[in-house]
Parts: sequence; structure tokens; C-alpha cells
Amino acid sequence: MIQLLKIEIFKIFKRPRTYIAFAVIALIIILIQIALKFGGKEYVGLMMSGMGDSFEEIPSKIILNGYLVCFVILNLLLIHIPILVALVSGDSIAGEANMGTLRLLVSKPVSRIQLLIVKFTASVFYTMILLIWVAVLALFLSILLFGVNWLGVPRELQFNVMESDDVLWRYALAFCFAAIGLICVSSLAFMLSVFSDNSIGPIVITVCVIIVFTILTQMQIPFYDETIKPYLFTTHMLGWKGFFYVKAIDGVTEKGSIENFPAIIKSAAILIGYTAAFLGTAFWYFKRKNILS
Amino acid sequence: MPSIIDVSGLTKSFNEITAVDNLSFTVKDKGVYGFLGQNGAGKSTTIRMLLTLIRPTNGEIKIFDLDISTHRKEILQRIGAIIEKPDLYKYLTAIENLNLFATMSGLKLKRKQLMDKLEKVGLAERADSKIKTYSQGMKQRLGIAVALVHDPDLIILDEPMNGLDPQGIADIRQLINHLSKDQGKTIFISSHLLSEMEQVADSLLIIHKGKKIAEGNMIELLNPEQSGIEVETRSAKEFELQLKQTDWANKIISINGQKITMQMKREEIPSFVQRMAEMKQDIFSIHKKNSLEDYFLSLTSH
Repeated sequence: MIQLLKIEIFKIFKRPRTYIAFAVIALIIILIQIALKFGGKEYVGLMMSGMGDSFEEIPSKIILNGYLVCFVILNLLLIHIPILVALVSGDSIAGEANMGTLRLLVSKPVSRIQLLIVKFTASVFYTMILLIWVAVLALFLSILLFGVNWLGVPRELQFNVMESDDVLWRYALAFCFAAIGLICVSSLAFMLSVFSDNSIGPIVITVCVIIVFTILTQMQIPFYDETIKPYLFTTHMLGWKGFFYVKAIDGVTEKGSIENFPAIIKSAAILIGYTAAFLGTAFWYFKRKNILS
Repeated sequence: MPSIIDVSGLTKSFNEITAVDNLSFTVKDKGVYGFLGQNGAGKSTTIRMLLTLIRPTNGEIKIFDLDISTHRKEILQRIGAIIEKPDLYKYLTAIENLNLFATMSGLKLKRKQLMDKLEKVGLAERADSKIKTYSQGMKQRLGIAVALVHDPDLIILDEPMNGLDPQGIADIRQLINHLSKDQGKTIFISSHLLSEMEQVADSLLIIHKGKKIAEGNMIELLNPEQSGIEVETRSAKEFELQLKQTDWANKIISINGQKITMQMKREEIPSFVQRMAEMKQDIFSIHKKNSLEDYFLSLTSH
């Protein structure tokens, strides 16, 4: 099994297209960092407008530090990384069928279930490497470029402040949560890949699902808030932000606190549930699939 | 002689279409077993069922005396196959492809061992070239190296000569003969190149519209003792009238334009030719008609 997994990972990282995602992420993050380096004061001004007089006197260079830059990047990027994840997961089985290699793989003395486990694990491995790449660039490079200070996270009508020694563990957990969300997307693309003999279909469908669901998630329409949004996995993928929402007593932030930890656990459980359903469908279908490609 | 493949009542339906219909056959140990049929006859579907790529609707497949539905892994460990085109990973080199499939067969080979295997199919010099730079013939040879990498007992080749130039076809023919005669492998091969099959196969299975229409030893099926001959003359009608006045009349099978087809024993042919000369017939050609192609067409053309 380990040997088979090594093969799959070797195949993924031998394809030039694999590196497109890494290049795109690096480009976006560096562009954001450049923009904030040179136009950060205006950005902070906009962010703090309406937050009250007490914040207006704080110099922007204190607010604009590596932790805030990372939060801004994740806020922009974690909706789009799933699209890059779909490039590899959607290609996982359908790409083999398209190349004509699936029939060779399935006629080898490896069970279909074993083959799918190895393929999906390799996709997850790729997703994790991609997430680590994001962490290195968004968090550590931002810390290097902007330094560290307390983190201020703007919310509707409030501003959560965390001391600098109360932030890193939140990012660690946020990245773990993001991993659960990305694995969920990966399993969706993987399931669609099992149904198709051409990788374009699963990739495009996954991207369309993410776009439509994200639009629905972000729509501020009360009717959708209770009828659709709670069931969309994209809604729960935003659960990582919960690690930066803190409890405050009389306007004073409680260090080490999380405002609604059960909600984060619930979102994670829903994402894991979706992943299990997508994978269950993929395994059920692939075990019976006639390989005609 | 023990049987290697034992298929009984094999049926595969895709919705309303029955691709393979109650097919039964046995492949004995060693030798080359040719599998013939027109396009769409059900050859590839049958081969895919043997390799567990397609689930049969009905029937039983036993390979090496083991039921494929319960002993899939043990069986596939002893089979090497090329299914239609040998599609491999174009972005990988030949040695990477070979190593990958060796690992999937449970082997851990060193570079030297992999190079030896590539040497056997004449690709050692291009071992580190990416497959996308290979010609069709080279890909086919690499496909064969992949099929043979784990030294299988049974080799299943589905149209292995497709897309090859004459030299490539000759190389594959030579390799099949070597594997069968020198290494004692059992080879189950499907092809639509009948002249090639005639040269390599010892036994034949012919299917038509999913059903078996002939099976047996090549020599027995083609029956060289009873030759069909096709005579091209100036006027087949006139020739027929002359023949009807002789003992040869009952040997006529059909007439088509200037050609007349007859059936006779092999030793009768010289005296027939002599008789035609006496009749002063203008003979343009005499063609022996018991090739595999003629036999195949006689079975499948109606």
C-alpha cells in the first residue's frame, strides 16, 4: 500500500500542471503583500472606519502586521484554493481513463478499493502540501515582511482584538480546519472523477458547484439563511474564522477564548459528513464500474 | 493438457444490447490461442471480462483453475496484458513507466533489472526518454515490456499489432513465437489481421455477434486436405458449361463474373490444371482459397 501511494504521489508531482496551483498561490499572496506593503495605510483606514474613536488614534503600522496580513490573505484565498484542489482530485480517476491507463491499473493485482484509497490519499497529500505552501507564504512570509503585533479582526459592528501571543495557536487550528474543508472539496471532485472518463467534466462541475454554493453562502437574503445555507458545505468551510472570534467581557477580550467553539465543531462534523458521503458514493460506484475507456 | 482459461456461459449485456452471448471456450496450457471476430463481435468485451475490467451479466470464468470472482488477485498476478493501445504515462520515461507497473504487480526491481527488461524489447537506449517522444511502434514494445515485467504465465494481447508498420508487426510476431515456443507461455491474442493470426496461432476461437461460431485447432479448422480454389478465366459461364460435361462439374461452388470457385482434394489440383489446358481455356490466375481469411469470411459474411 505504501509503495502504491509513493507511486501515486510520484505521478502527481511529475506532472507540470501540478505546479500551476503553487505558482498561482504564490503570485496572489505576493501581490496582496506588495499591495499592503505600499498601500496598507489606506486599507487599514477603510477597515477601521466606523469602529469608533478609540481605534482612530492607533498607528496603522501597529494594526497592519503579519498576523492581519495573513488573515486578509486567508479571507480572500480560502474560497479559491478549492478550485486549485479540484484540478488534481478531479483528474485523479477520470484523467487515467482519459489517458487509457485506467484499464492497465485495474487489470493489475490490486483491488479497486485499494486503488481508490491510494488515489484519494495521494490527492489529500497534494492538498496538504498546497495548504502548507499557503501557510508558509501567507503566515510566515507576512510575519517576516510586516512583523508581529496584536491582531484585530473586524466583524459586523465590532472589532475582536487578540494579543500577539494569543494568535499563532489560532492560525494552527484555522489551518487544520481549512484542511478539513479542502479535503471535503477534494472528495467531491474525486467522486465526480470516478463517474467520468474525461477530467475536464469533474473539474468544471466542482468549480461550478463551489462558485454557485459560495454565492449562495454570501448572499444576504434571510430566506436562504435558514433554508439553504446551513446545508451548503461552502457555508461551513468558513468555519475557520471562528477561531478568531473571541469572547469579550465589558469590552475586554478574554485571552485564549473562542466565542462559539461548538459551532466550529459542528461545521467540521458537517464537512466530514459530506466527505464521507462523497467518498462512499465514489467507492460504491467504482467497485461496480465497467472500465470501457 | 490442463486448461488455463475455462469460460462457460459468459454473457454481457449493456442495457438492451448483448455484446457477448452465452460464450464458452477453453484455452489449453501453452501455445498461441487466436481470438477472431469482426469489429463489434465482442472480442474486447470478452477480454475485459477476463481481466475483471467488466463484470459479466452471467457466466463463469476460471483461470488457472481458480474462479475469477473469488481469486482475482492471485489470477491477475499471473497475467500480463495489453488491452487495445498500450497507453502509458506520456509525461514519464520508459523506465519510470516500467518501474511503476512492476511495483503495481508487487515487484521491487532495481534499475539494472528494469534495463534488462527494456533491452529485451530494444528500448534500453531510450530508457530515460519521455514516452511522448516515442513512435507508435516503440510504445507498443514498451507496452509488451510492461505486460511481461512480472514474468506472467498467461499473456493476453488485444489487437497488439494495431497501428504498427510492417517491421513492427514482424517484431511482435517474432516475440509471440519466442514467448510461446521458447518460454512456454500461453498466449491469448485477438487481432483482425488474419494473415498474421494465421502465422502465429495454434488454435482459434471465432465469435460473431457475441456468439461462438468456430473453435479448434488451426490445421483442423482450415483443413488443407480439402482445398478451395478460385480460377480466373475469360468467361466463367462458358467455362462452367465446359466443366459440366466433365466429372469436375460437382466440384463447382460458386461463379462470380470471371471467377469460378471450386472445392477439391489437394492432390486433385494438378490433374484439374492439366484438364483445363486440354480444354484450351484462357486461365489468368488460380488462387488457393483455404486461407484463414477465406475461412473467416465464409463464417461471418452471411
